[in-house]
Amino acid sequence: MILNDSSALLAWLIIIPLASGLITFVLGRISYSAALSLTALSTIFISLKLSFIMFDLQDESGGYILHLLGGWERPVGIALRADGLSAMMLFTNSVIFSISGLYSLGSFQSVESNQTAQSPVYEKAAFWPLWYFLWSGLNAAFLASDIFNFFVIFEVISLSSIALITLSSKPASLYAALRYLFSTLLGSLSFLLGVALLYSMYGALDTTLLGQRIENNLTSRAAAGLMIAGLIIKSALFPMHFWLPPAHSNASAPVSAVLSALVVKCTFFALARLWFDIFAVLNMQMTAFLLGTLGCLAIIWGSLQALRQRRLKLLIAYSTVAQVGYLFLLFPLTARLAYSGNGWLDETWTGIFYHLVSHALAKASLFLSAGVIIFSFRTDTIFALRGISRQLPLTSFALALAGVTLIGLPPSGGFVAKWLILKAVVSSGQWWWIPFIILGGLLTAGYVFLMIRYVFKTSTVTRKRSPVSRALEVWALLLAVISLLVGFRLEEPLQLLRTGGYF
Amino acid sequence: MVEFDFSFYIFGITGLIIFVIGLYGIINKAAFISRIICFNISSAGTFLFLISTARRNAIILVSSDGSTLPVPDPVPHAMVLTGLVVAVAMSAFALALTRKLYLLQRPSSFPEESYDIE
Repeated sequence: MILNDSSALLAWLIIIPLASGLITFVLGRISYSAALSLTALSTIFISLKLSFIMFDLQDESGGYILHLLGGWERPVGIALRADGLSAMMLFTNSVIFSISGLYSLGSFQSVESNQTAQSPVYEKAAFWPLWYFLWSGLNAAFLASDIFNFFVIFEVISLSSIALITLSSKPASLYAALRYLFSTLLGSLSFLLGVALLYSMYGALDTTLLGQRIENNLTSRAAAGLMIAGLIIKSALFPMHFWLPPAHSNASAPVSAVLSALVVKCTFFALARLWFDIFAVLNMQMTAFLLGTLGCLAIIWGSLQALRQRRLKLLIAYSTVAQVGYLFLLFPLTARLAYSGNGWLDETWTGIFYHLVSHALAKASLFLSAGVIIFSFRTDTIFALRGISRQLPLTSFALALAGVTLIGLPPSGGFVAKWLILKAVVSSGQWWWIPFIILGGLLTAGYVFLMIRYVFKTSTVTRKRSPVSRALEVWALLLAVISLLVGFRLEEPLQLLRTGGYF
Repeated sequence: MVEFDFSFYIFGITGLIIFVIGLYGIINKAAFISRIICFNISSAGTFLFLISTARRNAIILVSSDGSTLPVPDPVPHAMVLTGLVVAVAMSAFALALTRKLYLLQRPSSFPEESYDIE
């Protein structure tokens, strides 16, 4: 389905953040707030507009928008594609980036007024261009429909995110960034070789064309294996998660927020795209089962590690390792095993991506709140959280609300997602995933309560704290509230996820 | 594929072998600089493989007098050019990071696990 008048919107979603990156690089500090408000408003507006277009499209068969860049047809040209899932991801992306951007704007102003804190000017000058390049790369990843394009976009994303981690200039964050860089390079190489194999066999790079041409043979399977392995490393699935906690916990707060909320998810999104567009023919049931098993091990291992941490940011980072595990249940639940009927496919699809969105919002809020705590008390050890609820009431409230979404307690978006996933597991007959999901929920409750218990403990000692702008607390709380609110009105988001989807 | 093209297999398989050699280095070498070099070896292997596919997916041009002329597929060249740019940028960035780390703390060898992973 091609809509010529509105399909150019897809290209603007990539161009606007890219242009802002260049503008902030050239003009410097006079352009920071203008560029942020312009980019935030326009990307939110365009992704909302896309969602409304999707609602009009849902009756028709295709249900997606295609934009051919420069008007070149597909074997040669590059196409951008958006369906309901893309629209939802783009909207989440815009919201999280806008709020975290406002948070960083506020935190830079606080650092400037606070003479004790050191923040060299060059850090700030490098921050905004990289921030917008990351934003643009993520928007592009949710629109890409070309496997080589995916490779290039992942390089843009990892270069800018690693550079953002190193801005804090501590030796620990440099080690973490190098570790992350080597892991992601390994993933890229593996992915690129898979792309080369597919191109040498079928002479196409577009996912739709490849899906039509692919045959079930050894080379296709090797290419699939290489690409899946590369994406697993980049998504930090269980045995490959080693780079994530140091990288995400050593970055500054807004950077950690977008890394944990979105950067890990965009490679999962790409994996889902490739799996259903191209590799559906290969019917890889064993691989699907393996991915599900690794996901379950990630849930248990990540949660256990989160329980053991003494630093708040490491706890939140390990929680990401665990929550990413849930996403990989998508593959075994949609693999057609020996069960008749397919009523659960829709529930799996919507449940997994609802989990992705609500977790992204909650995780961004947790990292921003942790940033406020570090800003005020210069430490994030969990024992030092004792009684901060009196001094930072809004932040404590944000931590609790985001924790509710993470555990999946009823009114939140996390509850809806876990409920849909559990329902899908039960009706698909793959009952062996149930203990992992329930145990994961219990362990999540464990580490969230560990954090909350210290926060709300009454303490007579009033510790010295640096003044922190109330705005920072409000932005963190806003994200937590949104992550709770997505559980209240389900009709439209679920309908959006179904539009142009695979089931 | 028009006919059995021996050179595709020679270049393609050499590319794959170089890729695996580089991969072995990335996984086994601890020093950052050698890892960066191994990454470059590995990507060179991938690029050789990609270039060899240009010949395999050749486009056959038919001229007006009926003679045929195989023209290499241009898409792999474009991909290799993009890949080279990405590889250069990545290695430069990795080298800059390694240097900055070296300047921050000047031991002769880099300790592997000096931060708290688990």
